[in-house]
Amino acid sequence: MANFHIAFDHTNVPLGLYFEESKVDLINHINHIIPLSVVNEINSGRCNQAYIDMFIPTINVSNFIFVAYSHGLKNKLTANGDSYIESDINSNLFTNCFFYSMSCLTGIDLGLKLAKNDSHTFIGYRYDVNALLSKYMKLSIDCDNFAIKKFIDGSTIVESFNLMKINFTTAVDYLESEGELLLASFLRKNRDALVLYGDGSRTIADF
Amino acid sequence: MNTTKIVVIHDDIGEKDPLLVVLREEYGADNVILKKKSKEGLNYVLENLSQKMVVILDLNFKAGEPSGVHVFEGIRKQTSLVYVIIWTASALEDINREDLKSMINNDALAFMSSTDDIEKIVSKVSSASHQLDIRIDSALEQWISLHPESEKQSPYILTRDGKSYSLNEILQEIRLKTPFGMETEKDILLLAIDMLSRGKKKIDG
Repeated sequence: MANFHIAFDHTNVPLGLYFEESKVDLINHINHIIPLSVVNEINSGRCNQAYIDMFIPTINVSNFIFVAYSHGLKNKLTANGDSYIESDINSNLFTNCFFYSMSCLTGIDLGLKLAKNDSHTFIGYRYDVNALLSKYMKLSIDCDNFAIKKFIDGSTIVESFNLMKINFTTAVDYLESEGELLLASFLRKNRDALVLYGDGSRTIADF
Repeated sequence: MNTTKIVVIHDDIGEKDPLLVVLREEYGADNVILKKKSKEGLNYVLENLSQKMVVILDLNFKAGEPSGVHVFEGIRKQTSLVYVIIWTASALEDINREDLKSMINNDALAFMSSTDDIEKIVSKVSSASHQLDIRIDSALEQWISLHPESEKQSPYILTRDGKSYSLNEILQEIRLKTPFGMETEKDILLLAIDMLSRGKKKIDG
């Protein structure tokens, strides 16, 4: 059994559907592999600093997994036009945490602060990244969720991270073979924006 | 690939000018456009930025018409990816110093004198056209042209800061050298390097 807390800005325009589908894809996998897990869904209405500041201290004495599907800047995650997790404001609450952020840029600063604040590990993107649409949206979400799913399957965090990069490369080659050079170039960028900070040796058994 | 359009903006030459005759033989009658009024010439260029273009631009126009420098600056405000060849009867020393600075600093491709041989001007146009052919935006344009029009105008990519772009908009962003356009241009080059470095000798598509 593991503890998952998933923030997803489902009312965001125009990315709400992408964030929602990402969350659904992850929860389906959790339910399939470890059905007894605790899954706390933090939707747009609760993606705010007040909720985070109130809730995280109630869980951070034990190991937990926090996943974010929302906009991001280098030092914060945002929803509803405001930050809900920010480097110098409340990132210190995320002790004992494996933090998985599928937002732009958070790998530049927020991820470093989280790893420094005794968050075990951070995986995220350090550049602006893109989401593929229509018939390639599932492929894009598969790429985003690949490491967290491999981690749930039993790989260590660092193994999952490396497999995620390999999967991105496979997806890049697939898009290229489909004649989608531009989309392939965007996914390559996403791959090279990935960063892992902190302790990569843990497995799902630690959570 | 779309053929390069040659736009001649000059009020002292006619449709049967030898330069136009030679250019039309080389690039096709439909692809060589003469605009005798500078304002019309500027408008034509700005309304057709999605096409590859080489502009041959006179500097001096009749009273009431924008000067060549004004047209040049008007083009450069919108794009740096249209090649402009200045073709003037003025001696270099007679051109206003500030105008000269503006043209040099904004990448005028060449200064040609009205006494230069036609072959020399055509050679410059040919060189500019070749440069256009090997640029990323031109390669991308060729690839985009293979898609149906409805697909070209539909949202194609969504950045995670919430902006969506169609294929046509991506091409325009590259041509206008916006931050997204420049980033995309870099991404395409990095994809090519990535694939070549992994031993993919042939890129499909």
